[in-house]
Amino acid sequence: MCKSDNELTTQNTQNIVNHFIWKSREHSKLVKILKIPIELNKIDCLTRLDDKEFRMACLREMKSQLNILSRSDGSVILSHGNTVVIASMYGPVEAKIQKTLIDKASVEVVFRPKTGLSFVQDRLKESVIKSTCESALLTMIHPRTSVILTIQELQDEGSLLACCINAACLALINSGISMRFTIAAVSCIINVDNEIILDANHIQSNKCRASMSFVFDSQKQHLVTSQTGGNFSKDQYDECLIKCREASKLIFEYYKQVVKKYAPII
Amino acid sequence: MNSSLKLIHPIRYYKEYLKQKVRPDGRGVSSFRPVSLNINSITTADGSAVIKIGKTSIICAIKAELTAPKPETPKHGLVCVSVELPPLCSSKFRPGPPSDEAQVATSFMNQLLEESNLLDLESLCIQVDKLVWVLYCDIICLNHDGALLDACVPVFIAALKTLTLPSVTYDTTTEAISVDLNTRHKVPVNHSLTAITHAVFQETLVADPSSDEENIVKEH
Repeated sequence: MCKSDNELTTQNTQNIVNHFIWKSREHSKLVKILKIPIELNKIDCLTRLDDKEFRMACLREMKSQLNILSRSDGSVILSHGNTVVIASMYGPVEAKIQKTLIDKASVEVVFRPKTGLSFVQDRLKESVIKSTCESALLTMIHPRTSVILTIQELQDEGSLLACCINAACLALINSGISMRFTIAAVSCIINVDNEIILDANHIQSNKCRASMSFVFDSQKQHLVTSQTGGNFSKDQYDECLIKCREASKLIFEYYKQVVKKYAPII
Repeated sequence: MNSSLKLIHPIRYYKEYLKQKVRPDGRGVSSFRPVSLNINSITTADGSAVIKIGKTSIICAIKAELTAPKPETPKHGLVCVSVELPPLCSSKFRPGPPSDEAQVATSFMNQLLEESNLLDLESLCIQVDKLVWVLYCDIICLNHDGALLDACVPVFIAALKTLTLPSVTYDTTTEAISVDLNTRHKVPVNHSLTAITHAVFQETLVADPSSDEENIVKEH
């Protein structure tokens, strides 16, 4: 696991803090007036990126709808092909005494599987999502608070982790919390014939040698998180990284379209 | 350097050291701590090992039991790995249900076992669909001073390599099990794995971080 995080100098931080405090005040006003919860039955008005572009990049079609839940500060339903998750975000809210950090906001991520209680395996997923979101959020401007992200799996047909991270990012965008950059996750697998398949579905992932998930930032396309499993060579890793980085640009483009569409009502 | 600076400004304290290309414990930036490994430390377990990396010490014990296999994989034995971080290993942990770090380490080890093809699970089978071995691998941290996974992986491999199982005969007609504790055989381990942790402290790559170092860096 590798996280990258840009350290900001104190002076810079102060400027950013002032800027964002102003911005978030303005924003919350806006939200109060304009936030119109969209009901679940209107789910057909989904935002989608041109299928052709996605097929060329070998990514599955992405669909999403923001403001899917009326009570949370930011929520989204996101699908990558047939993998579907709902993410909701509350924050910054008062933190539990145990989890209070004096210099920054604590990020809590809860992953709920489709059936049953969350399991030890889900903790690994939660910790990856948590550390990824921590590097994207400007946690130092909300000290002693916590940001709670809940991700509910609805359907898993491969590349669940990438879908969860993208949904988390969209929920954060929807809530209007200050971020350093947005994040896009792309996963790929290396199959038994040493071919690289981006955004694999569950049938492809069942017979893979290795699986990888990468998260990139929107500013410089730097690697934020890399999560790998199975055995592979360094060259294969580099090739996957390059392919996923290219694909991540499409996801950022998708975020832009979503935000553009929802700009009048967010 | 005085210890109050370390408490008040841990990042500046550490930076001052790194400027001189040395770390507070006297190591260079890319040097590792000495590793020592002891095998067969617990005589009552079927396989065991203790590892020390600097001050981090971890013990692993494997206990084998007989069980019926899962219906979907009738030929495969079962392996359960659990990593425990009891309160004695560090002030970070409190008594009670396992901490997040322990659960993350546990699922990391299980995933590693599943994806690395380390053990041939069919070698743990005694009678298809009737009787297989289940290996309970407990990895207990005694002293947590950073680089937890670096220690967990080799200690687990070492314990697996020392593991011996008694020979068992299963009578298909009477379904009787007879265990011969005196003749024991090893379990084939396909390959060895190592884990290496690096921390990134403001563009400097620091090898094998101690727990103080892990607390101040955000990236590893």
